[in-house]
Amino acid sequence: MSRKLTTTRSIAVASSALILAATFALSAAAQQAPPAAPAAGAPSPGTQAINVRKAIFTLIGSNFKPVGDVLQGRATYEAVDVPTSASRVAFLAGFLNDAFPDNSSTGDTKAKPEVWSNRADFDKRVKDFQDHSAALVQVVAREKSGSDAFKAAAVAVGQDCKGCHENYRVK
Amino acid sequence: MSALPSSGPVSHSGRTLDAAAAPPTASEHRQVWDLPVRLFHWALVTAFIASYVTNKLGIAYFKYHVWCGYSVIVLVSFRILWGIVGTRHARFRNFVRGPGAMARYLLGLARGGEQRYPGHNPLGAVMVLALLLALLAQALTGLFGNDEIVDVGPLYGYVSNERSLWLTSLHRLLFDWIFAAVVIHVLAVLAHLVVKKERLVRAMLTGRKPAHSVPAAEAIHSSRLWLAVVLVIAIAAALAWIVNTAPLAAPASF
Repeated sequence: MSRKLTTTRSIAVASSALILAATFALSAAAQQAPPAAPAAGAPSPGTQAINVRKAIFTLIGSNFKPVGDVLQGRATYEAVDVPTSASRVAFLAGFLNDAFPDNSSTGDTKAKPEVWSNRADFDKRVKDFQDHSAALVQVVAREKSGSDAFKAAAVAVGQDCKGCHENYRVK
Repeated sequence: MSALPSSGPVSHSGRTLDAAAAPPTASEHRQVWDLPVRLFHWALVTAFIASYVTNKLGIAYFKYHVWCGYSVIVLVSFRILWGIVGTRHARFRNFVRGPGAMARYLLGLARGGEQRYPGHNPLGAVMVLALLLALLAQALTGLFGNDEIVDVGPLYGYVSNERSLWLTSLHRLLFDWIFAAVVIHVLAVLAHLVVKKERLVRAMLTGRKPAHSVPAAEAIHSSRLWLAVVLVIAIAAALAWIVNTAPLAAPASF
C-alpha cells in the first residue's frame, strides 16, 4: 500500500512546516520579549512548549481547513487536496500527547487550567482526535470523494476539535 | 388613525369603557392578538429552540443553525415593523410605557390590586422590547461569527477575523442573557395564570381574551394578514439578497 509512503511524506512535510512555524513563533516571541526579561537567552521550557503547541495547532487548523471547506460546502472535494490535508492532520495529532507538559499551564496560552486538572478526560479527547483523524485518512483513501462516509468521518474530527475547544480553551 | 383611547388597565368590576354594552358574560371573548402576531410569537419560540438544538448537535447541523438565525432576523424585523403598522395591540405606541406607568403598575402589583391590560402590561412591554432586541442582536452577531474550526457565518467575509471572533464571543455571551430573559418571561406568564388567573398562553394561541379584560372598543377586527405577508416576503427577499451577495469566505488559517 502507498500508505507508508504517504505517511513518510507527511512526516517530512509536516516536520519541515512545524520547524518553520516554530521558528516564526519563536522569533515573534523574541521580538515581543519585555525589556526586563532575565538574561536575554532562550525562553523558558514552559514558554517553548507553549510556542511549539501553538505551532502544532496552527498547522492542524490550516490543514483541516480544506476538509472543513468541503464539509460545509465552501469548496468541492476535487478543488482541494483532501488526502494530503487528512494525512497531515492525522500526523500532527500525534504531537498532542506531549504538547501540554506541566510547566506550560501558565503563560501566553489559551489552554485552560482544566487541561491539567482534568487530565484523564483531556487525554481521552486527544486519543479520540487521533483515532478519528486516522480513520479519516482511511476513509478518504477508500472513498476518494466527498461521500457521506467521508462527511461522517470529517464531522467526527471537526467535532473533536470543537469539543476540546469548548471545554479546554479560553474563548 | 382612530381617536379611541389607548390601551390601559381595565377595572376588575367588569365595567368597561363600552358603557352602553351589558356587562360581558364569563364566556364572552374579544380578539386582541392578530394572526401575524401569534404566528410570529410561536415561530420565534420554535426558531429559538431549534437554534439551541442545532448548535448542540454540532458542525453537521450548522447550516440549519444558520437557517434558524435567518428566521429570527426575518421574524424580529417583521415584528418591529408590525409594531408600527400592525393592529392595535401590536403597536409599540399602544403598549410601550414610560417609567412612571411602570412604577404605578409595580405599585399596583405590590398592593395586590387587579390590573388587566387588553394588550401587554407596562412590565411585559419591557420584556417584549428586551427579547426582540436581544434576539435580533444574537442573530446579527451570528452572521459574522466563526468557530475557528469549520463554521463561519454567512457575512464573515465582510469583517476581519478579530472582529468576527469578538462578535462570536458576544454571540456566546448573549445566549445566556436571552435564556435568562426567556425563563423570566415564562415565569411571568405562569404568575399571571396562578395569581391573576389570566390564561395568557391561550390568548397567544387563539388571539382572544375574556371580554371583561378587553373593552369592546379595544378589540381588533382584522389581522391585516396581507400586509403582514407582503412585509415578511420583502424582509426575507432583502435578507436573501444580502446573504447571496456577501463575499464567500472560510475561516482564516489559524
